[in-house]
Amino acid sequence: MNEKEVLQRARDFVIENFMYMRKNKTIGDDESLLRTGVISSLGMMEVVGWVEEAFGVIVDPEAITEQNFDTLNGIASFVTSRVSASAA
Amino acid sequence: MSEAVVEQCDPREREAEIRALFARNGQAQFDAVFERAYRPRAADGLRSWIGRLGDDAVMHISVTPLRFTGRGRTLMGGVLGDLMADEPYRDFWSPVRLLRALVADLKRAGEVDFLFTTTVADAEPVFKAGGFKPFGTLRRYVLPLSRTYRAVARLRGRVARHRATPCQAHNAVSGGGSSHGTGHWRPQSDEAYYATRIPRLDFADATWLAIGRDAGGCALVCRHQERPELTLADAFWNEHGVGLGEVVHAAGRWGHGQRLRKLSVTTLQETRVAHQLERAGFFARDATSKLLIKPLGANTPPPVDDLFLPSFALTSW
Repeated sequence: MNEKEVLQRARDFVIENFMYMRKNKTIGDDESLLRTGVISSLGMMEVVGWVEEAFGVIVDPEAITEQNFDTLNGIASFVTSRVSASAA
Repeated sequence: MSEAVVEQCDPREREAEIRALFARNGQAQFDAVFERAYRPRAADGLRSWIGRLGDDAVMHISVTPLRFTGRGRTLMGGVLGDLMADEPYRDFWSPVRLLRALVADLKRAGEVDFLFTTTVADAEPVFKAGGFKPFGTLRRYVLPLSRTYRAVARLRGRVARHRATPCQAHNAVSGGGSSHGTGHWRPQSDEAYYATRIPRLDFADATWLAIGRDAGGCALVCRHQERPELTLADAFWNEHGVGLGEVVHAAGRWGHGQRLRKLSVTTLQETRVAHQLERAGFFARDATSKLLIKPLGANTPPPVDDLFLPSFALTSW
């Protein structure tokens, strides 16, 4: 699975689970999910849980960083690197 | 938003900034907590971590060392407390950075074996991202104090009848100190420690009760400010003599004499203590909060079922 596909799945997950009541709101791939109010801190842990379940990746607490989880691109990049590391 | 600089401090040295943070966020009562708990406990190792922006503290959390003894071992726990952040820093990442700095500092120092904290739903993700895991659930247990109910509960639970007599704190703690340690882990406390916990928002005062011959057991009970209810803040017992059932029933009998209607204790529902309370006639009521834990070193934290952890030990408010 390449980064582009992961990005699309992450975008779909966020829209379906956190933006279904806000049809007019959009989120850029590099926009902060937390600071734009798309997700709360509870939502962040949902995203982490989804990454673990959907991609079979174990997310250590230390990996829950702004760089890895605050934007759709960050999530895509993190997941892709973890999936390819476990496949290697 | 500018990024705050996280630093560890003796709260007495950053007193003005920390108090101002709580006051800005509608927690002016923190002043009383600071005077009662922070100032004296800082001399015993209580430390704060603040996120500093210029001369202001924009985030705060503290750790109070609390020694645990049980089964011939001693471990040092650290109770997290008073997580607070100014509005722009309640963005998940900032408190997570604060928490990670705290964990890294304490790991490096190597003096604390494990950290634990109660939490509310909104703050739980912050602690989970800091590596904390669920340990147990604090639940409130209530014993109705009517004479008939207590008599039936005592018979059913095979609890012997003892008299509770008010006593001095130092007698209770030293007497209790020699009688405990029979099969459960508990926080170690002394008179100075209790003085940092009372009076507080819900308890104006407290009474130590000596129970049984030679004060084989004892209890620290607090009268609730608003309800006709007595709260068990701490207890010492001896499983081969005056047991927990005897201690709580004697305290309940004393409370009934004070025209109170209930005796309550909030503790971990997963423990043998909770089971013993139910066997002695207590009803399990509402769950109050989750307890999260993070081991810091090679020493394994006490097993949850062996622990007597009254909620009194978890907060100074």
